Amino acid sequence: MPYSAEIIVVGCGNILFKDDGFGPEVIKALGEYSKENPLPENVMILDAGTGGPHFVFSLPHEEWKKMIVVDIAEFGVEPGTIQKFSVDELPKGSYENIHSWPVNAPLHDLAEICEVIVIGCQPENVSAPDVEMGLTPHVKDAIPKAIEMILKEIGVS
Amino acid sequence: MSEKIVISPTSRQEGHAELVMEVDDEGIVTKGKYFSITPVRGLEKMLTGKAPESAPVYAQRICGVCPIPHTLASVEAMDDSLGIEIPKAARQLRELTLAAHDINSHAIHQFLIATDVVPENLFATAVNSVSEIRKTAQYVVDMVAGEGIHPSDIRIGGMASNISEVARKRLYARLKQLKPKLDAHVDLIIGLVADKGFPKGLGVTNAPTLATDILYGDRENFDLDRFTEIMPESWYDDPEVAKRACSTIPLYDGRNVEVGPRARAAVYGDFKERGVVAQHVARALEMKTALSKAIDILGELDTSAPVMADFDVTGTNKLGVGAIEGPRGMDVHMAQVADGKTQFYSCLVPTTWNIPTMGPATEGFHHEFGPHVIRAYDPCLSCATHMIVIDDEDRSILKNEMVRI
Repeated sequence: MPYSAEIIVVGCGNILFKDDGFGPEVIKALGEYSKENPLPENVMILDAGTGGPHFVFSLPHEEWKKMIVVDIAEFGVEPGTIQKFSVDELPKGSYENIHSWPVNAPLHDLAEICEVIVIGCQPENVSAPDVEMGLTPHVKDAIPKAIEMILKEIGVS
Repeated sequence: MSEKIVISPTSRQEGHAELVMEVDDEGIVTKGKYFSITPVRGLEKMLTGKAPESAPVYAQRICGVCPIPHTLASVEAMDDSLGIEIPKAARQLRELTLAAHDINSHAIHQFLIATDVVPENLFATAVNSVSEIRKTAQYVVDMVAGEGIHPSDIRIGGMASNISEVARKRLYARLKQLKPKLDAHVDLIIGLVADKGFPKGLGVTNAPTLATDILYGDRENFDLDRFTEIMPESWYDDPEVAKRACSTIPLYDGRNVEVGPRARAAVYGDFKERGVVAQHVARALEMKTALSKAIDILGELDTSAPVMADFDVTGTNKLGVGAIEGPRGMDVHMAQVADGKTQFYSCLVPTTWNIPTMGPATEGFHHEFGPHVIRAYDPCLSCATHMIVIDDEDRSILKNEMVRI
């Protein structure tokens, strides 16, 4: 079955809209990092793009013990600031507006089945509806910090 | 006295849209207008000047619901522009990917309409049935196309690699096992839709159906000369609606059309029924067609056959067309490649075709049925927004003119 792993790290967001591509970019960088420093076998990393709700969150896997969602989050701080959130603390609307998912908060349902945490980064510029690629400098500079937090969550480092 | 009922945004679909219904004293809809309020994006502009290989990679990011049809339509358009004949096994793997995705996507729609048609005592049964089907279908996409969401192995010229003989046997066995479960699921859905007792004739329109194939898509059956595109203010008689509508109105032979599972079944099958119930039934039955096709392909596939054509990426500026029958209908991408770069790119996505047909489909029945009519089309607005941008600086939009591509 797809996405069978005990710990799954899911990067969410759209690379077409500047800082909304943070999640996928972190997954890409983590993939590079893991070539030199292999991750434990029970860990899977996934660039879900905007398909998270549709293809991942709504199809829970029996093996999942922990899901680490990486995404942008508007929480009114300096761009590039990273914070760990529990599902209950998610800034309002984070999975409704940006990802336009009509089923409310699929992560809340998921949190009843496995541990779910969100690594959120404050964006500077989400270009939607205009297509513009590439992260703004502060958000790009936050990638190593995000990786450090993810590694801590999966018990490496 | 007439009254106006506005539902904005309409729910349980992707993207944002608004349904405006004028109703009479009895609440019967006399005029229905449905339009997208998801704003302009401009992906097509971004692809020009890039290497052709970039197109499928970006096109699959248009939306988180149909990444697979967009990837396929994109590579098919590029194949056509570059004059590539893909190997038979590559074609089989692409068809297999889409068939599996179709099953997954239709099952998601059944989940979204569950609160409309499934009684409480059967809710858990229906949802579990949907989940099991979706897991197996997505496993197929994941194994065949490289990745389940952004299928990285679907490439211009064919596929990155064939599947192994072990994988073929495993998938074949898996899908054979799924068959009785899927048959039961389809019977359940069709039965529940019938039990719901929608009024006879709900959602029936005179709009012609448009499809290019029974399941996969065939560019030979899409005639660009019969296609025109007009601006919303030429279509909607309400200036307020016209101003807010975000998508152009595509016409075929000068008429608005219906695309999707019912259209495919009507054009290439023997399916005569129209309206809301017919759309749900056709969608459910198509899951069976898709599964049979997937099993057949896995039975026939030669896993030692080549899956990538030799080709030159330079291009002759030929207008290439990729026509894929996505779960929600015909998804056409068009591309021109010359000097090794994309010179032109355009997408005509499924829901854009249905938008002008969906509003009038609510007419003649009580407005309470309006949302049911809309949901029967399984609309997805995220990518259906499409405007022709003429000024890159201020994004002003060409208005009041007939536009041809």
